[in-house]
Amino acid sequence: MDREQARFILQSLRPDGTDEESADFEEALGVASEDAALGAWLSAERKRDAAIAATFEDIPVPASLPEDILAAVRLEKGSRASSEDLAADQAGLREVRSPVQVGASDEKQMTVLKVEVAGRASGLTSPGYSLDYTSSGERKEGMMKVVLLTGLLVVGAFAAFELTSSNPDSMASGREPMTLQALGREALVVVSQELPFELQGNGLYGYQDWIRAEGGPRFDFMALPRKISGGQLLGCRVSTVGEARAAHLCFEVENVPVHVFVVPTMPVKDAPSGWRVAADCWTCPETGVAVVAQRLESRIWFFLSEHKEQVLTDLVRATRP
Amino acid sequence: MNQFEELVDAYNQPLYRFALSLVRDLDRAVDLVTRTFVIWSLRQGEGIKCVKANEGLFSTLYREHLGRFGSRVDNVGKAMLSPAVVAKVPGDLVEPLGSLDADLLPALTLFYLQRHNYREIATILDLPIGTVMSRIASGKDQLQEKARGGKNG
Repeated sequence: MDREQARFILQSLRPDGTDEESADFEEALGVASEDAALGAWLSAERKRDAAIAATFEDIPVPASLPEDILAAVRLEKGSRASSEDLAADQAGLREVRSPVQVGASDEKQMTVLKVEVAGRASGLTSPGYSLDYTSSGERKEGMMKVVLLTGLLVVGAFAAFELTSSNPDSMASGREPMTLQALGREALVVVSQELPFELQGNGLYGYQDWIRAEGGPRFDFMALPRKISGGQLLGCRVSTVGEARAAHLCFEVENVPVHVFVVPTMPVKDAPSGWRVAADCWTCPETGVAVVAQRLESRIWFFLSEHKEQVLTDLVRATRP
Repeated sequence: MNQFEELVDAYNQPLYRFALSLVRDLDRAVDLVTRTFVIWSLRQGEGIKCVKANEGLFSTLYREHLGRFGSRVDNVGKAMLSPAVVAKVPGDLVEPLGSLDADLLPALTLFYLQRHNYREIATILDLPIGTVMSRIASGKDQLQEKARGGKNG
């Protein structure tokens, strides 16, 4: 690479230093470090770029802009809902809601799931619970029966649904149970939004009080897969997954971010009943992000990363030494 | 604050700055950013979810800009500024790029906003990577020429 080629490439180097570690600029930066004239040019270029970039940061933004946006979105959604309702009425297609759905907010519900799993449990099974991993191509096929009961019921062995009782929010909303994949997609959306982490640093245990204060779930950090918690902690925030407040931690493992979501447990559609562990893994076809999901006894865990699906699964398997 | 509100909170400012640089009009910029979030929320409602917001929102805004205001470019390739618009733009805050050729402006604005690398800028603007690099380089050269011209007279 000659000086002019290096100069051309380095003109796309952002002045805040974000790109310095990028392999795209490695060779050009190497040339600049050995060529005094080019190095001087680069130094002046970055100062000039930083000054112009700062002017953009100084552009005032109308304070009412976020509220204007939210109002416009509400208006658009409202008008769409109205027109869809009207269309449904005209076509005689409006869905008749069940009494359970209508009056769910004041009544206890119990969800009973019966799943006959056709797939085969992988080597992740441990004594005390069974763990079924299915890859994207091996979707569980089974018969599922969902029965929603209202009022007082004798819960029996399936009071397992501590699952239900431990998540009053989802009960109160009367929301239909979601599949692990649907919940995982919500976690994917959170990751795709690339929102900043409100808490950053390396003191993992210092995060617990903060997560609780933000309405996130309590959980034992020792339960984190050791190969993941052994990575560099990039940050933490509290997000919403399945209408529940979820702790969202991000670690850098083998130079790739691994996002960990810990969600209070809730009824999961298509999941094995009782205390059995539900698990799944798949790769989002749009983004290539791999997702590993586990519903354990009191929490649902999601692991998302651009690592290959198998690599991520292996990282998660290292939960217990 | 729900997920969508967090998204608005995180992205409204950089999107507004990008929009203002493109349309050079405060009201149009607000309109463009608002429309961008409306489109984004509708897409989410339709189940199109797995798109990175940091690229997807800027890409949506740029496409919306091309669709609504893209034709408002004069025949010598400069962004058109009405007298009212010029009066509304605060000082020199976005003027450094105001004199650029219109085809160089989006890439250079995104570069200076520093939220995307040149590969991501290529995705947002739907351009080849080499074209984006070339436009950043040309835009900078043009800015420096104009700066030198300003100093000389």
